[in-house]
Amino acid sequence: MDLIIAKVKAGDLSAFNVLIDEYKNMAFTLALKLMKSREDAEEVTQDAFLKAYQKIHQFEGKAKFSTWLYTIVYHTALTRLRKKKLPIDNSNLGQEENLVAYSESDKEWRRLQKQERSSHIQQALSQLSSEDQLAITLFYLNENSLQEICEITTWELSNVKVRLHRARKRLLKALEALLDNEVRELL
Amino acid sequence: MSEFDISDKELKTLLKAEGLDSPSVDFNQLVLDKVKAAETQKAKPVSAPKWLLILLAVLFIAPSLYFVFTDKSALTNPEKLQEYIPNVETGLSSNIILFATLILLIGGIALMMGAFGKWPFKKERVKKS
Repeated sequence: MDLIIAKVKAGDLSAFNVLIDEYKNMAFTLALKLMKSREDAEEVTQDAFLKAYQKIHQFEGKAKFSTWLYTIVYHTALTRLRKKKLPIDNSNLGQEENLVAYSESDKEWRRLQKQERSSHIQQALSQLSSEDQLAITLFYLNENSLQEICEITTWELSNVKVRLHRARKRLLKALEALLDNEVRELL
Repeated sequence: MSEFDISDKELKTLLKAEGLDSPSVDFNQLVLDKVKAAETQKAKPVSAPKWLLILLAVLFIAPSLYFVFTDKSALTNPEKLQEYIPNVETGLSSNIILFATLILLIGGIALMMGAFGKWPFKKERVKKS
């Protein structure tokens, strides 16, 4: 990877193409979590890669390249949201207190096949706020450390911990609600 | 009523099983096109060659010095100003003299450009991938 980055620094576009291939899916996934629209997410990701190419000489290799790139993606998305005057979706903050405990969801969960479970997780994830989705995606899907999430989002470490804890709780509540609905439909 | 829960490990596995979202098929090409466009459109910093700066300085300083060290009343009196302008008889019409001066000036500038090897409006080379 260091060699590829060195080539990109020297202006080698074919090396940059390799970098795009390697990171585009994760970068796009992160942008999509924030932008909520494929079109906007695609533009944000393209702009982020363009910025990364233009500022590649600033990348010193102290952090992982992916962390550096996702920081650009995150800030490009935030800038785009501000320009479009779209609020960063925090709509479900504090909702967990209002959620009701569901009884049959645990049994229903065990009944589901792995593929179905995965699909349910995605549905539940889509019900979370942008930033909760981002935290979950970075931590569980991309396996970023808490420190790396701090670097990408510029959130405080304590904030990252709290947000992750709450996001996970909300995700499970949303999943539980989905499963409960399914059980009710079956009955 | 027990609270619904799944382990971190299972959550991770399930999220990974669903995979990542993918951008459009021509994503790479679109990014590379943007990079190329940005490279070619990158504004070249305006830098005047030294000879041009010297020429401008001379054109500005010479008449200034001239008027500083000569009788300042000449500036307001056209007849007196005429005394400072050398009267050279060439037998040519003033149009021809002006035209010749212009050609000499352009030729001089072109020569200096060639000598300094700095054409200010040369095209920027586009990097090829």
